[in-house]
Amino acid sequence: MARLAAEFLPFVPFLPPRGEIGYLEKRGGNDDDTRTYYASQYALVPRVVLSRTGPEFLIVPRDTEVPGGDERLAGFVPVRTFPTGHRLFRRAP
Amino acid sequence: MIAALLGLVLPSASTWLLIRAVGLVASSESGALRAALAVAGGIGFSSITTFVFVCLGVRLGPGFVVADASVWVALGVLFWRMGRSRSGSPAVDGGEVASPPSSLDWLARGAFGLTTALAVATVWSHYLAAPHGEWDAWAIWNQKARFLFRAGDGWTDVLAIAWSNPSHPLLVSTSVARLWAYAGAELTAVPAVLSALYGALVVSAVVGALHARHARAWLAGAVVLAPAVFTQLAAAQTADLPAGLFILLSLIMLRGVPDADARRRTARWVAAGVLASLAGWTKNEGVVFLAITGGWILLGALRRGAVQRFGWWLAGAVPVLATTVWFKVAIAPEAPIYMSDPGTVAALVGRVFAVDRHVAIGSLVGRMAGRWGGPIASGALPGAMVASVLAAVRGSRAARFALGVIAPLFAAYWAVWVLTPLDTAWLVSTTFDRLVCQVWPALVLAAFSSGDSTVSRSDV
Repeated sequence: MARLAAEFLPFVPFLPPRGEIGYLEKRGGNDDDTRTYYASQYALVPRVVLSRTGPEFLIVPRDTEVPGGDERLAGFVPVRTFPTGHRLFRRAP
Repeated sequence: MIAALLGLVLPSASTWLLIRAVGLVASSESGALRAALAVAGGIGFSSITTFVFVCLGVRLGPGFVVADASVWVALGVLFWRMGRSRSGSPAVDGGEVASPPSSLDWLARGAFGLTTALAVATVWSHYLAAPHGEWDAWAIWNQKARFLFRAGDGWTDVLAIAWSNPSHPLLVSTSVARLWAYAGAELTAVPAVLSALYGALVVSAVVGALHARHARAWLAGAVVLAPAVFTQLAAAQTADLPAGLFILLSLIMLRGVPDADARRRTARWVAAGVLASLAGWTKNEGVVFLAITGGWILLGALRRGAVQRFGWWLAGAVPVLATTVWFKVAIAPEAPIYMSDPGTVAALVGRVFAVDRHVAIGSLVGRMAGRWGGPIASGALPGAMVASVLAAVRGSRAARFALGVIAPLFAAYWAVWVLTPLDTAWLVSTTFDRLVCQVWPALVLAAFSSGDSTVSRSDV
């Protein structure tokens, strides 16, 4: 858990200090994917990480995007790809 | 970490002085019980004051630490002066003369020491492997503590996280956040030490309630510690052991009422109410415990025409209960996940009368009860239940008190398992071990109470 939560700490400088952050969940995900999602929330407190694409910023965990283009990312532009494979997107202006 | 320990010691010392001032514990009773009451009360009271500070918009920083420490020092001085002014009146505790420990006593103490050493090693290894605790710790309790510590008056943002059980009471989370404020950092050792401390206080209370000079007290302590799930929860950093601690202490206060003198009897009723309400401020199951004990006490008071007993108990319960109700109604008006979408009345009635549902739950509970406790303590639960019933049949007041509360408490758990819209097998299998652990110490205390004071007409 400590290792998993640490994977999301590099997101902090790119996110607002509070408020809602979107999170793209893997389709048909398992317990490990849920754990990763919960770990992102634990790491990024006091932000609220929500499993939807409504907020301005969107966390896309590694291996989550549907190959060949994920329609859930429509309207977002990539901000940063981290060494762990997780990515941060932001709603296009 | 030393500053965090200071944050723990201040309210505990104040509570110890309060206990002394009101004469809650007789000098003939064990210091282990007094210590458990003081530390548990200190944690409980300081969690309430922290919650009040946070609700008033105070950030959990250095300013809070100064204010909080000042409150506890001032209260400590006040209780010390109260204790001094009362120390002139002679105590009528009627303590027993201690005899040297026999070989049986040493055998029991050795068994306790060995079990304790294994438990400490287990908790320590759990901490090294998972310093943030188990799933529920970082998904619920420590996560809320982080919001309280990091977000200032924005801590209520945590209520938007539905899977983090927004309406769960806050004793554990506020206690962790408070000590982080004293430490000035989010040390993983803080929730870990608190979690282990809850387990230690449970054992201390059981040993103290049965009088540490008796072999059975040490044996009971070893039995409480033996189940693997107990040590696992002592390392888990969750809310089940603290809930069990307050349930246990409340029952211990009630079992001591008939033997106490008039002044101490009133103090015991009030303390039982305070401790039951702190169980409700720890977990929703504690609210059910509060309702059950309140119901029994009211019934007993009405039968004997002594309504003031219920009044004292209620006076103790109301301040913390009011805080819990306010939190649940005004701040987090959410049903718990297991009852968040119960469906129509027809669906609920259908579940109540679905015989196959009851059979499935009964079958699962039977299997889990048999192996509860892990390989070393397998069979401990049915064994403790039989011993408790035997003690109650023989007239043990403590056993009757405990069973009179534990049985309806489990009936309430059963009702939730039946009524929940969630997968019943999943809910039972993920909650049974923890729920049993909440009442395990009280059950062990009941099982070892055979030969205690028997029920008389003046009892509750």
